[in-house]
Amino acid sequence: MKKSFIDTIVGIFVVIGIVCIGYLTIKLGKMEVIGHKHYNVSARFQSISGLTPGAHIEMAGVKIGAVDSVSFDVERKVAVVNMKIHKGVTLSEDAIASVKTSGLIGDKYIKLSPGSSDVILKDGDTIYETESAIDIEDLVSKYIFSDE
Amino acid sequence: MTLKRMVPIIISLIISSSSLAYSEQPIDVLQVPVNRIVKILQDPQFKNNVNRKLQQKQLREVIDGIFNFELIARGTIDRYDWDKFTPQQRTEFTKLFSEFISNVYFNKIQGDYTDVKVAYLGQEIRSDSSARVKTVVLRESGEIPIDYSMKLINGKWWVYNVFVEGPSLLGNYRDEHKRILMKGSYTDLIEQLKKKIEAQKSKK
Repeated sequence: MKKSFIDTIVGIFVVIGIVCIGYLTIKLGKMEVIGHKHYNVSARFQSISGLTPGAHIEMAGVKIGAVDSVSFDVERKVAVVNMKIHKGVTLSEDAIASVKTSGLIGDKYIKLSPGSSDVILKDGDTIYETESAIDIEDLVSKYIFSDE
Repeated sequence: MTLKRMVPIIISLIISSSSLAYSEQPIDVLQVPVNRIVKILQDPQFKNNVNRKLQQKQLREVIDGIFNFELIARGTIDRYDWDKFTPQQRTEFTKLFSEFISNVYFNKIQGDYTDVKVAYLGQEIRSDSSARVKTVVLRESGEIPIDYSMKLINGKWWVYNVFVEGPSLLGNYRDEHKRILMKGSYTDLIEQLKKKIEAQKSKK
């Protein structure tokens, strides 16, 4: 009787432990159990210089999503960024996505400017208006070699 | 069906199929006016800022045929704010912003850019009605990459956004107009635009 009681208690703790580990895995790994809180949009950039999956998507300085994956379009030779945007945040077809840096040497993130068109982007659509990351080294070299 | 009845159908079929086959490419649509702009800038009669007004008139005729200022003006205003504008305000803003942005463009290129050449790098057709054309302006002092976003409206390709070395025209003014409209009202936006246009005129 006593042994089975102890076994039950141990079992309960083991189950609680497994649930905790599962919760932490999902939270820390930024996975989604029920993935209906977001919708996906993609954008092609000439250069994303250092933007990685998990990077913030911001609008008006507020996080409204995250970069899901980054790939390379072999044919077009451009970077393709897939983004998860919170449902409830609507984007027009003329929304502009720009790769920005927090501070001078901080992390890269994507800034979205909402747009004015009445055509709203749906799950799986593409943002066409994209501004690539500004390369400071390029600017410096342009300044150095410019004759103006 | 008699042959007489079939003639108009056959003709319309031929016309529609030929127009499909000859659907103009955005890069071709852009090349003609851009080359024309370069020619106007290099025209000896406008050397050393002589006949600036006439040169502006010629430039305006060209850019009015390729830049869709209605789309550009609208694109600089957030949808939330645009919905609050009355039809009259929309027309007034479009007119003033078109004038302002053309003046910015003229002030930048007139008198300068006489040694330019434009290279057309290619086009990216993004959907049935959207494309991006990549160009590079070649000057002695260096290269300036300029991309044009174009939209097909009623069978004609129009420019509605320009990217110069990364940042875009719409992105720049959208942020600025949002700032003004957050702090003030439509009247403030129009007043600021009018002030800027006055300043542009006094510069000339």
